[in-house]
Amino acid sequence: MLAKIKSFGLSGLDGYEIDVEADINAGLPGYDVVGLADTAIKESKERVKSAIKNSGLDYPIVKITINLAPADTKKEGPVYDLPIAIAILAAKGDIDQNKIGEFAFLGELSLDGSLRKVRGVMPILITTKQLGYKKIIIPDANKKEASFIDGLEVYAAKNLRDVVDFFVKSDAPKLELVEPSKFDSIKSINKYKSDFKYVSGQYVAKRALEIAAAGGHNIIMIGPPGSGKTMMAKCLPTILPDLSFDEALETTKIHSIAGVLDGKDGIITNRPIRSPHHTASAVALTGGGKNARPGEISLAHNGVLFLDELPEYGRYVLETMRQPIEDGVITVARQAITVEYPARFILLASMNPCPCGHRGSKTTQCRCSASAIHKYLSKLSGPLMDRIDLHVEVGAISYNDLASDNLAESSEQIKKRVNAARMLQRERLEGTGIYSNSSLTTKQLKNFCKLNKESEQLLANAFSKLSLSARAHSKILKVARTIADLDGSKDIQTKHISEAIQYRTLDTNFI
Amino acid sequence: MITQREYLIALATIEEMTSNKVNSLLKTYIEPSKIFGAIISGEVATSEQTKKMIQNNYVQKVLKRLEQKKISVVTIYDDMGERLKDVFMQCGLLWLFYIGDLNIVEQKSIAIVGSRKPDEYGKKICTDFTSVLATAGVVIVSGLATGIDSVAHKVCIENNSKTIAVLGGGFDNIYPVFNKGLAEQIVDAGGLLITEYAPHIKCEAYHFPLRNRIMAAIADGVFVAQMGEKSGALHTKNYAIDFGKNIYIAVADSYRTASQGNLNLIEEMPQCVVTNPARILLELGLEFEKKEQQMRILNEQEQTVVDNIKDGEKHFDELVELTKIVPATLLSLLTGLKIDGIVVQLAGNYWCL
Repeated sequence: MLAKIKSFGLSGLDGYEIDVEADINAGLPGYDVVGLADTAIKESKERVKSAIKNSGLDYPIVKITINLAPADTKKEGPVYDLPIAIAILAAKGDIDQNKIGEFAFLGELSLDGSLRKVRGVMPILITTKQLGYKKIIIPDANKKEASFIDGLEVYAAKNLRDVVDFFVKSDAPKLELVEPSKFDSIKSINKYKSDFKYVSGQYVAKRALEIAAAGGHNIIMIGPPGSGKTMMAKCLPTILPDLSFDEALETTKIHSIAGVLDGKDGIITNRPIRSPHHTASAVALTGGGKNARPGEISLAHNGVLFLDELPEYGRYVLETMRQPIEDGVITVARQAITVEYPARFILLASMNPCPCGHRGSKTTQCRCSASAIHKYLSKLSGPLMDRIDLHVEVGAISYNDLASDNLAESSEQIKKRVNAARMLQRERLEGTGIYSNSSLTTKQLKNFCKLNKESEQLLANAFSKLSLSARAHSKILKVARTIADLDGSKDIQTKHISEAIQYRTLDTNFI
Repeated sequence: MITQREYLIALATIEEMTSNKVNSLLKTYIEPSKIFGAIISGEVATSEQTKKMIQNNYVQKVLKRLEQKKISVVTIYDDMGERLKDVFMQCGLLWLFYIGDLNIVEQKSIAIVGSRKPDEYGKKICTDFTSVLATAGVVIVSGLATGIDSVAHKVCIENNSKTIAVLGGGFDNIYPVFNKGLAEQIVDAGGLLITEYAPHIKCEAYHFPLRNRIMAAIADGVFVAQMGEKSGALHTKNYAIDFGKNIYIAVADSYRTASQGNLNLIEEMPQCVVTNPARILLELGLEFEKKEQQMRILNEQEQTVVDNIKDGEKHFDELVELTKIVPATLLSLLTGLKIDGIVVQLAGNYWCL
């Protein structure tokens, strides 16, 4: 007999419908899977067999053929274990096919018949909804992320036996219908471990991070080892505006596909901060591999990408990020598939002032030769530096600072100012398709960053006296615009320009 | 007809022929053309390569190439000023390759020497002295190396005054490479690049002490801005003593590792300590014009900032705590003060007057 079951596969960020067909024939016992299945699916044979047996059901000793349609797309992963098992049981006649017709199934089986967590449930459910399906059965471990998609009847099952009983026995306990969760109720719970109130001193760096958060500017911190660069980096997400539900869904989708989603909440409520190690390859950052998985820059979508020790990254690796930083998306093309992943993030980089880290230090003599320093700094190509608006020098911290009990301004307070500044930007940029000052185009700069005579004069003086490079000009204007927004000022004033000039360390004679 | 001068220039481009060697050969052969002949005949031992190279119109080729590269040569056969004559005598030179205005060698000059890795203090000392001296019309002589040398040349260029860079290699091999731009700026500003090495000769470690002797010979005095315990600048000092030039040593506090060389020198020759460029100018017979302090009127907050930096360099964080001005405002105040030249920003966000 033949049975047909609905399931879903993933192609990039979107799901697509898959028919799982099982056919049972008399003949030599055997099990074949057709439909471009990968190894994990082929191996489902043993899992399905043991799971059915260990659930106290009969496994048919006959010739079984499984087809995954459409037959011309590659399918991957163990997500089809449950649909295959149900299809076999239905083909055998243990389950009434009419009853399961309106259900879709997802889930990996364990040998004892229990259901395990699978990747990509959230994007699949979004597709399920779009395609008009109403009922779907998923593993219990995935129920949290499913609870944020409303308008679906999602059932969470713990094991195969429960699913079978659900269809066969009328007196069996019902499968758990997943209750919709409210995003607003969990998003207010702050789960960040860091807070700016524990960072004493470092006034410039904190101020620069506040500006970066307010205007979405990319930022680089330069300082000796142990000056607290990493600690402050961890604090940056805490002052970013709260994630909206749509943003949270976007980010969660990517994390779900990559399989790094935390099952406890089922949705990303805090802006992500990703800090790949500097040995990371270009593909690890941008995404790729055989199945075009999302990379670190996509996982940092709507959050922060922290590159510690920037010059230590491979030059090629850094250059590959230039285009996504500009466009906010990355197109990953592989033989089997081409996927576009969103990648809009704040780039936060840190570096030492020289290879040994002690240049400019008051206590330790720098050991680096001039050519070593030159080589170190020349890793940062012009085009990459063009995309970083704020440079800030972070000094070593003194014992007094460490020992002091005084708490600094908390992230909560800073975040209020950031939110206010973002609000102003949103009003100003309404209908332009951009959200923050960092993405202002040259034309918009002319419109929104008008300077008065005095400020013009100041900027001209700064360029001639402080030997700033030409590329600093538009950066200073953008940053000044954000500073003015933080100040609640409609126009850019002289004090805003003069503060913005301070964040161009690497443009002046840094060598 | 090839002149003796032209033969000498051709000899200068042969790697084995240093001024010293040609000098001793001249004792036997009297004229450069004869040395040239002796090399071809094998009487003077050189590599086979050289022998092959210098046949077939070598002299004309050399002259043409130098002309193409706009490199000039001054040799003992040329007319030269008093100071340059002394330089040739004292250093035992037969030729010097140069780009730029050779006449500025005759002007009053000070060699500024020091470490390739100065600290902020050293850079500041170098900047301040150079700017006063250069403004007063003194030609600054230095070695185009990184650190103190670069600072000295750069200050001169900013002041639009003339400076001489003595190189330790040929003009095709400017060392360090990233100072090529600086070398061009020096020439554009009416300065001079000079070296005893032919354009294709690479910079070798042993060239630097020899380069330093030319620096010491050209200048009227040597100013040691900042040097570490072991520094090439010591050579310049020793040559300066030999040539009877004045030596000026910048002071430093006792714990400054980057100034250890200065401290040792101060022990050795305390009479040479100099705390003010005015003395150098005086000994050069020049007037020291005290720069009119065009301090603009500071507002109350700016005055607070300046008052707090007065007694030594301060980190930005310290300033925030001392002045009780919020970081954002303080940053913009400092920009204004920095543009007007009232305060100076040092590496690591330290500030001083």
